[in-house]
Amino acid sequence: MEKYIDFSKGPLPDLEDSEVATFWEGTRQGEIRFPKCLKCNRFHWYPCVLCPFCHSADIEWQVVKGQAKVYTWTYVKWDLGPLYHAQGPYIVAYVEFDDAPGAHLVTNLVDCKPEDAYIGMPVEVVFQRINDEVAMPLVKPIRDKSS
Amino acid sequence: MESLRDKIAIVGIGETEYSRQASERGVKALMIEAVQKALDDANISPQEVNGIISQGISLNLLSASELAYNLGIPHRYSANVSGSGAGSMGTPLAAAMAISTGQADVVVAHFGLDFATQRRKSFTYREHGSNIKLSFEMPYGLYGPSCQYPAKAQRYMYEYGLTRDQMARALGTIAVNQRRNAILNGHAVMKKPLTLEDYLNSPIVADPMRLPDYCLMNDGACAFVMTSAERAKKCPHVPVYVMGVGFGGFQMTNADSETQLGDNFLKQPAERQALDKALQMAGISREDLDFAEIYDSFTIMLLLFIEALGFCKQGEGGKFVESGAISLEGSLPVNTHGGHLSHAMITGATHVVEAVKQLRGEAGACQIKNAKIGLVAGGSGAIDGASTILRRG
Repeated sequence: MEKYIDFSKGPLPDLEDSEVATFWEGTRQGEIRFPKCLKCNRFHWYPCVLCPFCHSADIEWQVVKGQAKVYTWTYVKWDLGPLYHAQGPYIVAYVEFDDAPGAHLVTNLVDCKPEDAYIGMPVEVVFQRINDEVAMPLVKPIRDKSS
Repeated sequence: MESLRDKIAIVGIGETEYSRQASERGVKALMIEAVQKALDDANISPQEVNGIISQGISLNLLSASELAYNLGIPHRYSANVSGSGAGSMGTPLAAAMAISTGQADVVVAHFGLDFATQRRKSFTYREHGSNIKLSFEMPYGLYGPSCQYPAKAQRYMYEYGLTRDQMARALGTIAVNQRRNAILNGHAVMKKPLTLEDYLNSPIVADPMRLPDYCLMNDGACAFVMTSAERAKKCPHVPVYVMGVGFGGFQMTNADSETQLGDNFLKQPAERQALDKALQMAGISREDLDFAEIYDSFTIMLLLFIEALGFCKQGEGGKFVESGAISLEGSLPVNTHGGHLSHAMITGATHVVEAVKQLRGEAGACQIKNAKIGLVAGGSGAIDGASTILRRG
């Protein structure tokens, strides 16, 4: 599996956090899951005990397809923390999945030069496996079908 | 309920030196020094203080009880107003309530920050106590507001149709204006002049934001003392009355902050509500404000606050600042001391201190002529915000 991002200097996700264990269980299986309220049919992110829109407790994690659009992004070129220490400049993006409007996943945009990044850019999820427990979702541009 | 307008006044201010070098004495000593100076300024002894108010970060550095123990303050009332900058900007409301109800006669608000010390150690203080941030944002190198605000600036360009050059000029105008004010005030951390050309040639930190778009990471402390309007008349300085205070909020969690705002991504929704409430209590309108000290951890944050507070339309902040409106000579001078960007970063508390100086006529080369009414506003922007309106007595 291709290594896009050097996560070696951490931090890595806290898998013990029961509120989000389902998410990381999903990424291990190659899935993106978000909580959805079954009463008002809206996704929300991050997790909440009650739906933040209609306050129902009837919430279920649902698998979404892997296509998303870049909501916003920034190219970090300065030493602001361990990811920069590990690998130098990187792009961090907030992406909105086509079938989960409103939920923004923060991730790295990989396989993309900063001058090519733009808001609205169609992207797809790729998983980078760190170890048996952790698979980090990343996004890369959807180019034409041949790529 | 009876209005709290003009019931209390700020009668003393105190500041330490602000420095980007880690303090050798430690931030607790700085915070105690700031309180001593503020009490001296008010000619009030520690034994006369019986209320202590602050905001979350400051109280973690020096608790009310520890401050009281060091100075011999027989305090009986203490409050933590908010964890964010709203807790600095809005402390006068908690003081007004305490003093008006007889809980306290003299209230001291104390603030400090140890960013210069912290930056030597770890980066995790930027997580804002949220396990979600630690798991879902920091692994990807989104280290709190330092990366979240560039992402806002990127979205700002997109939503309002600004070119990179237009965005740079808008943000650069703010950075240059505040540097000028900082140099004039004489006590600021930043002493080197900054031109728009310098700004445009400065390095990108996180695109599209450059180094001068970021606030200072300093150690330092400041404090102010509040008492009843009646007692204020006996203090040595002209009283600075608290005309109005308002708080605003937005329904979201610390985890959601700045990344999960939906349609409010650029709207700083808490702040508008806060100012409307403060204006209502003060019985004035925006046009009556002679100046405004507004929370400015980043240039883009200030731009968003100016829009959210209703000083111009959304998306037109760039035009507003480039018109010269926010300069010392403009229609609404903003951050007359240089703000977090060039003066010092103490989570908004230096903004209150500067407003008091302006209203006393003690702002030196930054003095706004005939300053009678000033606004202090800010907070986290997303979750909570506060506005305080002060007037010269």
